[in-house]
Amino acid sequence: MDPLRLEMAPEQPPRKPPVETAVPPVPGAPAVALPTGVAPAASLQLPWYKRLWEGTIPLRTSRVGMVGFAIVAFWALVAILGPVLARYDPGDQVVAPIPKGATLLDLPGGAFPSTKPYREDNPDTPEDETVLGYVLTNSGPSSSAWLGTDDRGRDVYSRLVIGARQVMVIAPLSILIGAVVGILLGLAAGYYGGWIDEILMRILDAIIAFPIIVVLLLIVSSIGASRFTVIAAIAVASIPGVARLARSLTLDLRTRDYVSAARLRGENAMYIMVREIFPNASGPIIIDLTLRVGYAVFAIATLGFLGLGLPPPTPDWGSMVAEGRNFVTTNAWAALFPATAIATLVVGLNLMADGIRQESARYR
Amino acid sequence: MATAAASPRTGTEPVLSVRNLAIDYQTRKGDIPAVRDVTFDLRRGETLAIVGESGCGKSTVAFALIGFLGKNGRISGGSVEFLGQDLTGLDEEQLRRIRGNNISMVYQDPTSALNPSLRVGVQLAEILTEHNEECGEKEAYEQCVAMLEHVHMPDSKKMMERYPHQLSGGQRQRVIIAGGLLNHPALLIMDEPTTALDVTIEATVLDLVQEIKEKFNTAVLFITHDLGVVARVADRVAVMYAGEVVEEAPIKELFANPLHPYTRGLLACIPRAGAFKRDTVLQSIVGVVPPPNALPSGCAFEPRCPYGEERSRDEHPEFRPLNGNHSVRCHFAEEIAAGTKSLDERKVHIPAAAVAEPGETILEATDLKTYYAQKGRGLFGLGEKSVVKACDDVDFSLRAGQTLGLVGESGSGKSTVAKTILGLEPVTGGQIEFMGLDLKGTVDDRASKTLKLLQMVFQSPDATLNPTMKVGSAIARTVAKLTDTPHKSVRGRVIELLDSVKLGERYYDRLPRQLSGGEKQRVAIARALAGNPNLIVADEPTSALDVSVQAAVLNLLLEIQSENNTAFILITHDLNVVLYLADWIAVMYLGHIVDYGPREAFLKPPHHPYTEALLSAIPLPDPSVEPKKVRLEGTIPSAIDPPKGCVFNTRCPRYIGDICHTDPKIHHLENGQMIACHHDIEYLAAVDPVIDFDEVQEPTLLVP
Repeated sequence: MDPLRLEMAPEQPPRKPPVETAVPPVPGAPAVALPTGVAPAASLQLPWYKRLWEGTIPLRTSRVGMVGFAIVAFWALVAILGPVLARYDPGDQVVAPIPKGATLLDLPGGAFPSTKPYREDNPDTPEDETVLGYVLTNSGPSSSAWLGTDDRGRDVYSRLVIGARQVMVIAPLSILIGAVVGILLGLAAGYYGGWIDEILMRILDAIIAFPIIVVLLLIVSSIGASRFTVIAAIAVASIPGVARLARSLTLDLRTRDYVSAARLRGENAMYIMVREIFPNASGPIIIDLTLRVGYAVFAIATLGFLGLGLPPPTPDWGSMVAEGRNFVTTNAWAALFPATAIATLVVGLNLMADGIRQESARYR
Repeated sequence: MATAAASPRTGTEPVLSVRNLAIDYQTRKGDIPAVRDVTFDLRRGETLAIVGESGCGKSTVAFALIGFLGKNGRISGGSVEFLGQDLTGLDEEQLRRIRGNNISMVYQDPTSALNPSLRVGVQLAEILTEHNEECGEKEAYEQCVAMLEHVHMPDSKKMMERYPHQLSGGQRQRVIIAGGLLNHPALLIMDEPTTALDVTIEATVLDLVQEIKEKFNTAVLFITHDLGVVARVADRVAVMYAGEVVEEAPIKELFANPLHPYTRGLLACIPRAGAFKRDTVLQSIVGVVPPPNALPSGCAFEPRCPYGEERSRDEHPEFRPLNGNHSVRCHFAEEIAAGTKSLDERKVHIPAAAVAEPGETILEATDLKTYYAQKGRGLFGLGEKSVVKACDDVDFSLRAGQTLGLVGESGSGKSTVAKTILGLEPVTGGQIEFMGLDLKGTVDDRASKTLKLLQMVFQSPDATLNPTMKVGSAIARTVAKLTDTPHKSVRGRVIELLDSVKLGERYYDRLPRQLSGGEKQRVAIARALAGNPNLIVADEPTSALDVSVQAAVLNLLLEIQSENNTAFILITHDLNVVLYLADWIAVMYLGHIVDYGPREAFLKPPHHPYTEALLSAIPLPDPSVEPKKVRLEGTIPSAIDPPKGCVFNTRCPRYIGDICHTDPKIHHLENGQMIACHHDIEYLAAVDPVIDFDEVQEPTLLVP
């Protein structure tokens, strides 16, 4: 039974579609215009882009899913328009002019002198090179720094925006890699069964037995922290989950009659797995992958928080939270904004997955 | 087996009085009228059967009676009066008090109707204590035990302590029926209660329904699609089509003299007991059931009606009584009754009589064994392995152009035999010879030359086609893999195949979810025909289909057989269909063939005792024929630990004694029949026949 069907509302009495009851008129007889089947749905003979649009119906018809999609789309847009939206370079410091006559002691706590040149978009930076400026550190939202600055004086807003790029590229990419490997392993384990299944599953069980953070740490700390290793670590950590799901779907689908029919016409195992089984398993897998992208966002943030993520000064939401953590009592903004960004993105992805799952159960 | 039309204790006041009931479902696209006009009365001690095919609304009527229509269903018209009270106006709390108390319902699937985590006794007692505050635990327990005795549950005290998973399907259904009767309801609604059960168990449950009706004087509303079951159990029948009752009559009257064209069509397309493909044809009605949101104005049946006229298109016929107790919704009922109404033959599909000359032997199985090894119970699956002997020492042969019917209930091994011949399961022992080739190994080892000659049509139309592949692509792939057709002509060949199953080119680009069950099954047949096979194995090809679609598909198979001289192995549990279609029949029980022979041998003794029980259990669509009553106790034993000797010894009504625990004698008769039984042939030949096939009425064909 399709696992998605279990989500249907239980009180709905079974609504069977009308069943065709017999054969068209005797051939050779004058044509009587009788309908011989269910009226064809509009999706016959449609071009590919229209069919793709139809494929997104489960998402579009779900309010929950659309809310999630809106959030994710917002962050995707931010990521795409990153350099345009950012006000400063992520590594740049925000500078304010020292008022006439003021000394260092009059400045807000933590400020230190700056030798930065004038910046057009920060009218506060002293134009005149003789006027000294100070770096605005740990400050709340202001006109020069919309979301405040961190303890090094960097603009949180710009770092958030550029950081979105990192997350929105690395998370889906790592899950995609994990998915490809996981699906292949899962299909093979489910279809062949026997020793192949036992060996593959036990290896994957070994990986899944460790808490995911430990797995990530093991991989990243052994091969060093970089963008590539973060992607690799998250991909490896997600393989067992995807493989298990693909395997259980395959175990169910391989008993279907159309798979037997394929065997009866001499198809080989590869064809059956790829063309008969996988397209019918893709629904639940896609939902799972959407959720996993959320987990990946969280994993990247965690790695960044632990200092094992992308190397500084790459703006990474997780490390931004880590750095801001030390100053939470004086300036919570530096940690709060990246944390909120992480939260909203993960929630958005979860809502999308929920919405798709609810609607595809009803749609089928 | 039908009882008299009125039991002596029938009261005069109807228990249930339904008038012009109309039920709508609210959907995003508007209201869909699932039920439009249903009117009937039901008295105590009477069984009314509502018959119809899928989508006619019969289950909806049942749900409406107890208020289970779901969030978007509502009664939009008419009235339901139960014991004088109008049910349509009641709120949830009042309905709750009536449910389980005055009205009980028994559903189709006994497994999902019982809570798997509670003991049977607890669930039954709950029914009593919920509705009767004075009833204490002890009293409830005793009443439950008494009720289990009434439903002939062996060892009822022990049954109370068991969990549902420890019971068989038939036993679970009995528990549910017992639960339904505990509060002595005035009305018992049964929605396809035996569809999920094996034939022999179905027979015992139907006997039970007869009995309880007499013992408890309950009114029974029996909903089903099976006209054979109706003939056995009902006093009166209401036939539903497209949400309306189109005919209502006492049971014998309906079968002897059907008036509505739809009823006539239904009765003409089921094989009567003993009918054979060479003598009669199954006439089926053309067209489809209209979807509830696109009903024709005027008579709903008109597009398909062979008697239809201008008047039927414009005027919606009223449901009116004809002669006393027979009511019909048809403009021309009187003329049809008198036989004076003319018939448009184009609206009836009359297949040519199937004549296929038997050719040479193409398949021969000798001592076929298929065992499944189960994982051992020790660590890592090591340890003593148990073996499921799904198929043990099976012998049969088949000639070209003939049909072998493999009959048996669930667990008999018939599907395993099919899969082994096709190569989907490996052979454990014995030999299969097909067209001179020794079939060893599995499908993966066979050449495409062999593969194309041996094809299969599967049981469930929903699982037989890949949902993501277009119909045309699926067949094209089969053609490409199995034949040498050049790439350019593949499409042409696919369209040829679609035409041969009466579908046509416009189905090429459709996806399976756009097709109905019958259409999907026809696509599956087209796919099986792609390589011009010599042998097609059809595994219950029509059991998931409606009666009229069944007739069309069976006719199609017969046509294929006579045109191409294909041999068929038809696997089914429906002896009616087998007696119609098969030239040779093999009856299987627990992996062994217990009775094998030409079709004629099955019409009269000698039979194997199991065959006798099967013949007695078939629900015949003819209320005037009463088969001899032979019922089996218990259930089919497990194939992991089959009984020693004759595997039927645990349930055989002709059990002799210790000798049955040794391997049975194989009797070979001159007509080719083989019976495996310890009894002498003279003894078996001397028993009374189960069904007197000469007594069976000729069906009222649409086109005589």
